[in-house]
Amino acid sequence: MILGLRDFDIREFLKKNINFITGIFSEFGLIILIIMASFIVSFLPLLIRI
Amino acid sequence: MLTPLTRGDLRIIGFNISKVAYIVGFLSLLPIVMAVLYGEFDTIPYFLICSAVSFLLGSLLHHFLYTKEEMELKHAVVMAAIAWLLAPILVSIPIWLSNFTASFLDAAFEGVSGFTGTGLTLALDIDHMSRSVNFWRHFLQFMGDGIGIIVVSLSILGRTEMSSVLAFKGEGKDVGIRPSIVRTSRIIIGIGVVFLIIGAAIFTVAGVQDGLDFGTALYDGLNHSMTGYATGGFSVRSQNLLYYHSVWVEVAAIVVMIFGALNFNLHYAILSGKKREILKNMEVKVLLFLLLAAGFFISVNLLSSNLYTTTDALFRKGLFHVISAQTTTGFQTISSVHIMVLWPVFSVVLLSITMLLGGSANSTCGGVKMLRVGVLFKALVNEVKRALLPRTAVVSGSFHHIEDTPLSDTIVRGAAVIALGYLILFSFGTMVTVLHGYELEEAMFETSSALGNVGLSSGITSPSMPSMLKVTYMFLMWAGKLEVIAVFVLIGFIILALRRGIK
Repeated sequence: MILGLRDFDIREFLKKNINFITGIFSEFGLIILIIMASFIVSFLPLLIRI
Repeated sequence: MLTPLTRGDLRIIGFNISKVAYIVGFLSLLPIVMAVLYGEFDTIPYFLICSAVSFLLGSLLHHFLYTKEEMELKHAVVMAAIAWLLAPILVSIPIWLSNFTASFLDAAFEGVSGFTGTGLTLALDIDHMSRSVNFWRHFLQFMGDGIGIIVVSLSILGRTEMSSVLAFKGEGKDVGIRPSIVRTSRIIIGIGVVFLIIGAAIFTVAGVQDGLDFGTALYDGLNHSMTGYATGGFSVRSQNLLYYHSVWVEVAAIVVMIFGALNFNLHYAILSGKKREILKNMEVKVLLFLLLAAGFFISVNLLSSNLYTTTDALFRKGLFHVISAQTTTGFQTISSVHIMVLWPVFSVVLLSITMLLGGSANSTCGGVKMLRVGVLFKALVNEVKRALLPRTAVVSGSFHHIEDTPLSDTIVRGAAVIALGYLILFSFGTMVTVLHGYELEEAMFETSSALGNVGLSSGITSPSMPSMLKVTYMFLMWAGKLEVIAVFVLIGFIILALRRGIK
């Protein structure tokens, strides 16, 4: 009842905000890609030198 | 033919600036909560004075310049230029009163650097600064650059012919300026707060992981999340992120910096369900390409100079600064002296160019912006094709940014004008710095940092630097943040008023 929490339906919430939530995950995906690519770029010069 | 200015024009501009003063007055009350929370009651009057001055100025402008006339685009552009001069002066009042700067000029420098999301600092003894004043420095980066400038960029600057970055796709171009600002602001604040919470959570977890107590980790995390998303670069520590010596904090910073560096139109598209846009968007591709290219060459250069010889060091000290420069944030994990004394000149110059190119358009980043860089590159390729193909051949091009857009002459001209503007200001800033007796590469580095609203420093920016140079960098930060457009329009406005008078 407090703050209307009894009426809160997690499935309804997810259904309503699915685009937003999956969008945030997509952005995290891009960031992980950038971090991994940056790490590879830091590693490449060492590989070339070897 | 240019129509002469009227008193009505000045009234509209002045009346709308009163609202900016009201907003500053209201926002400067917020750090009082922080002051009460940390028992810093002596700082409360600083914020009350700032609020009172802002409300008084707002009331005077509102009373004497009241008008019901609607704001047009020319008024909005000039208003943005004046607001980004006035607001930093108002927000610098608590910083000046707290005695953490040597003079009012230094406090104003801090205000401009904060409000434009640059991050160059003249504050003294940041480690012992009261938490409420320190919070204010970070909060004004979030409000000025994390929220304010995106609103201006999407609702005002993006509508000008010069911009070439396209206005907000969430609404039609036929929407009036004022409703557009209000509607866009709501969406930007909503999304900004979500990223702020995510960033603060990541930074807090990273801080706790590295042994900070929860309260300190949360305070540092909230502030770094605000300045990271705003790609501002202020830190609660005088050594910036070097203080933590933590890979977790550095990864958290990279996440938040990239959130801030992405185009708001792109955020909006992705969060509204168009997830494929992330792979198709030209601006993301250009950002990724330039980031990795600059990162690779700097890594090779740093390795060949035997400065860093492990992947870990190359990533955390080399690539981290490329990401910090490209996103125009300015977080540092090594000292300024370290960069200028130990880094090879090639890496310093390449980092300067990266800072000048900047991140995405319609984001919290400074610099020329990736969308314009991509447009100019495509235009160059088209020109080469034109030279090689028969005269009768038709060469057309397009680029994908939210939607497929033809590469029109207007867009290319806009991008070229802005890039030229940045180049002129970069040359001006470098020459002024060199005239003050500094080396060319450190002058280029500091000028790029100020003009690109980055905040990485070669060590020139300090309380002992000449006052003329402080004013020059304040001008560069202001002009850079308003993408040069608003500065040109304001100068045109003043020249028009001087030559033809005000009717």
